[in-house]
Amino acid sequence: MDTHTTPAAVAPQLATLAGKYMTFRVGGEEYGLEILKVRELIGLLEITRVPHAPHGVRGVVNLRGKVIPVVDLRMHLGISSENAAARPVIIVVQLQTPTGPITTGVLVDQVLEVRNIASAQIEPPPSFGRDDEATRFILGIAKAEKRVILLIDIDLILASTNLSLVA
Amino acid sequence: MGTTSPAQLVEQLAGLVLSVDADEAGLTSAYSALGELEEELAADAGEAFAVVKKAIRAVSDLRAIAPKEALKAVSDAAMRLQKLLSAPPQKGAGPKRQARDSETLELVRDFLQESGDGLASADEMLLSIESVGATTEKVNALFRVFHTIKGVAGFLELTEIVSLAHSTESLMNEVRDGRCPLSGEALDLVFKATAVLRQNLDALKEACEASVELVPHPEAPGLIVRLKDFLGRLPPVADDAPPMPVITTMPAPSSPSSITPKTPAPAPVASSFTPLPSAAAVVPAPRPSASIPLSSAPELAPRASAPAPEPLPAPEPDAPAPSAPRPSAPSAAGPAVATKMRETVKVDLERVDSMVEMIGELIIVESMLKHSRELSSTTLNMRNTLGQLGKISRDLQNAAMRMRTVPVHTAFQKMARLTREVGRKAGKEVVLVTSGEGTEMDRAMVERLEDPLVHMVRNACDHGIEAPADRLAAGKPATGTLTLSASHKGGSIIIELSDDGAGLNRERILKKAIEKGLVSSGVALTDSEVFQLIFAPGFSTAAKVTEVSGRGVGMDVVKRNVEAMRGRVVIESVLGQGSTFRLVMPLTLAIIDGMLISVGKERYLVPSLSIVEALQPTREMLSSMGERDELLTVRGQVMPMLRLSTLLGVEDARTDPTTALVVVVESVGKRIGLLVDQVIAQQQVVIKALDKGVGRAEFYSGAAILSDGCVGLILNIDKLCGLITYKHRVTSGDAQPEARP
Repeated sequence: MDTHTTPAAVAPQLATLAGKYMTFRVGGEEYGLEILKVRELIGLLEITRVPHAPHGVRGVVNLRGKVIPVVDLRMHLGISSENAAARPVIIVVQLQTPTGPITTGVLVDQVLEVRNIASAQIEPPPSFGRDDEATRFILGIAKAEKRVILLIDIDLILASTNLSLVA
Repeated sequence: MGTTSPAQLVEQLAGLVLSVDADEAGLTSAYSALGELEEELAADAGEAFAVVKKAIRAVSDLRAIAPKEALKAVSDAAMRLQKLLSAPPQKGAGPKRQARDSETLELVRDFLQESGDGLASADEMLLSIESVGATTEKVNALFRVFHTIKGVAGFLELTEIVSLAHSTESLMNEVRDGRCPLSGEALDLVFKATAVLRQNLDALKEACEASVELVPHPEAPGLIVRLKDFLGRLPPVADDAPPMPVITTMPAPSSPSSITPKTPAPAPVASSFTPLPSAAAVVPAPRPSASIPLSSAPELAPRASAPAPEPLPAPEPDAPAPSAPRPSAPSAAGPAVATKMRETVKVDLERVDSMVEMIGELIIVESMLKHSRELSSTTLNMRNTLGQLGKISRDLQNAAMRMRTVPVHTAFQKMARLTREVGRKAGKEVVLVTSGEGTEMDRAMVERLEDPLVHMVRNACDHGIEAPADRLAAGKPATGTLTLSASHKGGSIIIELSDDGAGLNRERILKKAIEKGLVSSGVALTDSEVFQLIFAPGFSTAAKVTEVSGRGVGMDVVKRNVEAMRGRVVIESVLGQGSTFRLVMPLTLAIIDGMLISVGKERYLVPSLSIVEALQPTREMLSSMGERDELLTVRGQVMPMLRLSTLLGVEDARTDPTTALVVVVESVGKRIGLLVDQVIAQQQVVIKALDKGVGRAEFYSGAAILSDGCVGLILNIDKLCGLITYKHRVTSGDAQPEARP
């Protein structure tokens, strides 16, 4: 575990985005999340709401005795909570932060598959000319069999909930 | 590769850091520069290499989340590298300048542990020598402590520690050979030496953790000079007195680099380490020291626990007159030596914690199983088996909890030492009598208790115990006695510090409090309410002025620390006869006793310790100030009432207080009523931190897994009470009666 990420990972050029992704659905779209950050999947546990938590944090759950926060991707991606899945899934991710690793649950509608995405499939996300909350979290767009997979920047999403608490 | 030298690369890196802002591009180039450096340095896997690796990791971890932090990491690394690459003349110091690799750190850690233990037992022996006199055994044991420290420190090249340990060892050698009695100045010097050594060890620990260089304790060189001076004044001896060459070559403290623990080249490791395996045993058997002038005290024969019948030698004029009762003077027989050593295994604390945590889970799952509905339809046999499972898992939980506990002995021992020092400084004679040192507590708590204890002991010596003349005039023995005890009582641990001093002066405290506006005059307060006033933050400084009434310096610290551990402080005092400070602490920090309440569909936990009572208000008890602020009157006491549902944004809660419940809670002297729907149950829960990722959730002090596996939030009553502020008010609050439901 002593290896550090290659310099390539630092520059988010599109080519470096190639790799294995876990894809999932939120609302009508398909998203991809770097597989290395995924720890496990859990079916929906009862989420305890945390009053006054930052926007986008649904609450906390009991992950085998550890209390971890759960963020709702709908809130971050600007998707209304209509037609939310009856049985959503929590993807447990682990990220490195300045204060040590953080384990967080990410609430999604449905997990689809793990797939390889080659650099040739990836395009940069278009800018719509406004400072859009939702597109800020998209690293790139992958085309796969007539579908489009939006590759999300989970670090940034979680950092945004964490930063809002520092402010 | 290898076209550019590391030094050049570092230059480049430093320049880069200065020129770029914390943006992607800048970090990327810094990152690649680091990559090159890494290749360059890979050959000599020294400290520089480690620095580079660390910087690389920092950049890759932090890039997305905190570019500023990442940049800072790079610039720190660059600065450090510049120092590393330029400071030593490139080669010369070659093998010596090696990084403190993990092996060395491991040795240093062991050294810290062993020396810490050694110093602790040295303290104990010194105290017992002071009170009942020296014995050959004790002197030898003391000698061994310093000898071992010197040996290992020498091996680790901790020059500063070596020279001090060496000087002290020389002194002990004189004592051992009977050329100098261990009392008076000699005893003081050895005492001092253990203190300074301990501080040096602490500094070393910090230095290692922060991987910086050890800054020696400022008192050390002076102390060495004093030791040397003392030794010089001893009557010269013909033969084997060691001439102390080391001291003269002692490095000036201003060159800290020479004190950095360094590993000597591997070869000497083996050879120099062999002579000092496990601590004590190595030292050559004590020379047949026939004549220790001081050891007139009987040899404490077979280490009986009864402190020998006190035939106090009273040898030196300046030794404190052994007055009055000295029941079992501070660990007279030295429990560490007397009691049979328990065999122990060193286990990583993290592993213990994770095991305790897992067992906590087991208990929860077990209770979920036991309460599941399907169970009622199963056979009796099945239920019996489950009952058994429950029993075993609770035993397991108890065993696991015990793994986290340690006896309070170590903390108490430090207080014995402190009493001696403070008493001396204040020109008073004070002895500390301890009992219940074997009482076990959560180890984290023992550590955190030390601070409050220090304040309490200091206060007691400073202000509680009167000067010898005053004591005699009051018909008390000249020597003041502090009693420090620990015991289990109910579900709590009681730590009690009593003194037989002047006691708290109620009138003076009250007067001061009125002056400071803490209390309005004319309010009738009970004794304990008045005594609680000394904990008020501003009160401490005020108390210094009226030093006769004393008490109060740092008392707010005591209260805050104790309350942070969910304990409380109770004071009893009789003017002229002394005071007792009683800390009532929970058994462990990991578990709290909570009351589960519901608001709408949500459930929360209120720590039972903060709950005064729960009641259903009647219409007459309710009143309001303006539209929103509600008040509750309970038996004549008016307090603000907060609706938890409004505070926490719960929708479907009961709105009519007379059909709901009010839980009256108290913190920092304020009482408020919390309007909740129901009180569900009282239960013990394991506290889980609720720190990362849920924001500044300041209304909660943590989370807990409830019996159905859901997470419940623990309300932070201090914060809730803190919402209410008063313009003028008695800060005292309640006197915190001993017995609370």
